[in-house]
Amino acid sequence: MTRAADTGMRGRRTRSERQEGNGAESTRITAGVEATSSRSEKLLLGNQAVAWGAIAAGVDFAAGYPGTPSSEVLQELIETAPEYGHYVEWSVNEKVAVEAAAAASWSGQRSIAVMKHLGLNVASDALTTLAYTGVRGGMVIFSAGDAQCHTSSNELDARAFAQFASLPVLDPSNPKEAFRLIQDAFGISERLELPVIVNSTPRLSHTSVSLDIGGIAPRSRRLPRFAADRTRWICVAALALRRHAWLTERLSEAPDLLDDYPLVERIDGGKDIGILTSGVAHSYVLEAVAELGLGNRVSILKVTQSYPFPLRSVCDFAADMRELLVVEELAPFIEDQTRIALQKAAIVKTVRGKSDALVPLVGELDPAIVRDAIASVLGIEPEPAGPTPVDLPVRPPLFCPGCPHRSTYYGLRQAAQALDPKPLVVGDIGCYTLVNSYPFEMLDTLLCMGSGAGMAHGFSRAGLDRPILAIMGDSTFFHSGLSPLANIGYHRSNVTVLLLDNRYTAMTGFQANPGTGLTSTGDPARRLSIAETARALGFDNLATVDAHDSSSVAEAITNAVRHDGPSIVISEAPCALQEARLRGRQRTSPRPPLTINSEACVGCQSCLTAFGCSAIGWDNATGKAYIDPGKCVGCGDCVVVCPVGAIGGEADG
Amino acid sequence: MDSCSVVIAGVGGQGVLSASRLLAQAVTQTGQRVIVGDTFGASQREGSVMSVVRLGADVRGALIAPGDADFLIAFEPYEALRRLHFLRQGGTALVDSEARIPVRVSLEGGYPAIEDVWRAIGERAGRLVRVDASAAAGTLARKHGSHYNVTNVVILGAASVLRGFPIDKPQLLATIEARFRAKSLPMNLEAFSTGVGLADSLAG
Repeated sequence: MTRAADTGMRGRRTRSERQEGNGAESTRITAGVEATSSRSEKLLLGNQAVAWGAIAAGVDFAAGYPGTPSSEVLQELIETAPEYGHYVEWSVNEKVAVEAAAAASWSGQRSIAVMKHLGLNVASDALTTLAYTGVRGGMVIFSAGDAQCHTSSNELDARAFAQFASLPVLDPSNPKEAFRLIQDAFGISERLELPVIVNSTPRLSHTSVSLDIGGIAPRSRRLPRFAADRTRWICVAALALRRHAWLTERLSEAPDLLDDYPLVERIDGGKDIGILTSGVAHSYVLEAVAELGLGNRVSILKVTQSYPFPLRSVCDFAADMRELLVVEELAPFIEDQTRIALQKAAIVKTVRGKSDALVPLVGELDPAIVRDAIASVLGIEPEPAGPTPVDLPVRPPLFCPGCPHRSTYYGLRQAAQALDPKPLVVGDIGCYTLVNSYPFEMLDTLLCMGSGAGMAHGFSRAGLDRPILAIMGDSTFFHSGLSPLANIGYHRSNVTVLLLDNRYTAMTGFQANPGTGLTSTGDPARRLSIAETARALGFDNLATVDAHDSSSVAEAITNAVRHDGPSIVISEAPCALQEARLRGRQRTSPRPPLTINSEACVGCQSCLTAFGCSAIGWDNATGKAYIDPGKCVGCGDCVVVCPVGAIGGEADG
Repeated sequence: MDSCSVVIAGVGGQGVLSASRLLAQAVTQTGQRVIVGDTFGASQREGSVMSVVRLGADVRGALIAPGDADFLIAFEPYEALRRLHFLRQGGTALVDSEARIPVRVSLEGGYPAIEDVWRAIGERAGRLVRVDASAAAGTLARKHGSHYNVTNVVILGAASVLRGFPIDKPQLLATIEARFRAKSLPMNLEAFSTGVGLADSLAG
């Protein structure tokens, strides 16, 4: 039985399946913390350190929605739940996760809600009022940001979000500190009676270090006790204004309430410049100062709590320095807050950083950027520019061999080619977004989770004279698809929804969702029917097809597009990668790979340019396509693609 | 040694991140400070993957500046070229010989000729060791009747005997022995010694 707990993009295997093999699945199998060691140090991913910090703090309740680079936190909490007894779930979305965690906190338990930075936006309605009501048991929001947009549609800075929501935010600079800060965050949350946001980036979440977390003894969950309080837990309008005043006062008292927490870290050296920094930028600063030999010229103040901003510490530091340089990723948050702090304290200092383009506003920092910024401020001859990357075409990610999405999109392409005018394809977020990539390249728009159906309705109602086709996956359906589908169903928009149901939240590591039929911890659960739900939302014109049968997919899409009004095609087949993992455990043999009969192959390249399975290659020498038996999983989806019927059979041996 | 940075590069699905974990685990056993930073983006399958393993008392961050890597271990020559700017002039490159060219590039072009790749790596690296690790892993899989790909362990075996490599053979072997279950251990041990042999034969 799957525990729905491994990451696909990176992560580690569960205890029960470790040490079974190596190689084919190895991108998602890493040594993790299990390898025996004579020392108590373990190799921990930043996200795992966060999870262990929560465990050390005695977390009772954990909820989240997967999203790179945050997913390993809850995975680790799922794997440790049997031993430590905390409740843990993949909620249907981040807002629900925050609401559930808030209820646990209001019942006196310690809770954590885990998400990527974009999930903060989904959760913001709950979060911004939660700042007014406050919390009882310590509550932590872990948000993993994505400076550089490695896997996200924006690089929103959670520190600015925290200020906007009036919630404290902590910025760990490395996994070891994250382990401690998560524990502090629970204490700070209880001291201030506010949820505390802990902010990460890919360079923290996806960095591993060896860490001694000591022995953490299992303890029993706190018994929930909800004490009714009409002046607090019912945030109606009349009360809200009073609670806003409470919040404002609480934030102004924060420095005194928290004076025993290390919210800044100061390293005194020289006074030529004072470098203010936070998060992962701190490590680049330390390395640059060491490399440039500036220990006696500069001092460093790491701002650990960006909001409420540690005014006094920053002003004390600034007063001692000739000028200031702020080195931080993304928004000029500390830089602007420092200017405000100095102005309030009537301290006149030059503050350099993003305002004079020494530190970029866009993308992540790296050691070279930081070294050059520091050297420039001190008038040090810059290091000769390092070698530059060779300009090579990117290696685009592809659907896995056997992926049902490829077959579905082959069917979509067949249908679209016969339609005039061509459908507008309105996209959404999941593995299936790769319809944007070679060889399909059929996507017209992409915005955010759930935006496919929401925007398709808009395009239709705006009067666009083309068939409108919204794409959506099963996890997105439950995350943020229900509302826009209800909007289409109720307004009877002329929209076709192509729902790709592969049963798992596959892109982030095969997590369970309500369409999976498993709980987050791997116990059987009743699947919620996407078809029945869609029907109830007004999609009477509904077809369910086998995703591996591209001809039926094409026919169903054609019929749906010709139908006037809402229609939905549910193309279903389980994620091939997850199936392979399950099969691996059950030790049944996979289907044998197919071959291309080189006598029959006419070299038309259809299998490459119209289908694009990574198991199919091109032999320039012979001018024929071939199948790599090491990659082919024998799904047979490509058989219909070949116009001369050259694909079939089994590989020799 | 003050500090040492090893860049491991390859294609999603090749076992790059596993290799870097095994390496880091071995470092951890020795009590040295180690930091591993992974860059993989949306590269789960067939995309570019890179991991940096940094050792030493003073290492802090998970990223390195161009020209700061002492070793470049690549599972594929074009991925070696993609990350070549991280290798310091005169550093050591260990590269699997087998090119894996994306379908689109094989049809439309866009990659330099493979001889030019080897020349570029050779010009930067003080030492370039080419190994047929994936070929050897394929042979091992057939021999053991296994569908697992042990390319990464072959490559680690080869790396362990590189001059100046920060983790030696016994340390890596001990980590591999602790890591794999009895059933898969023999194949992995054989993969490791195959890698050692490949690198040794080149050195000799």
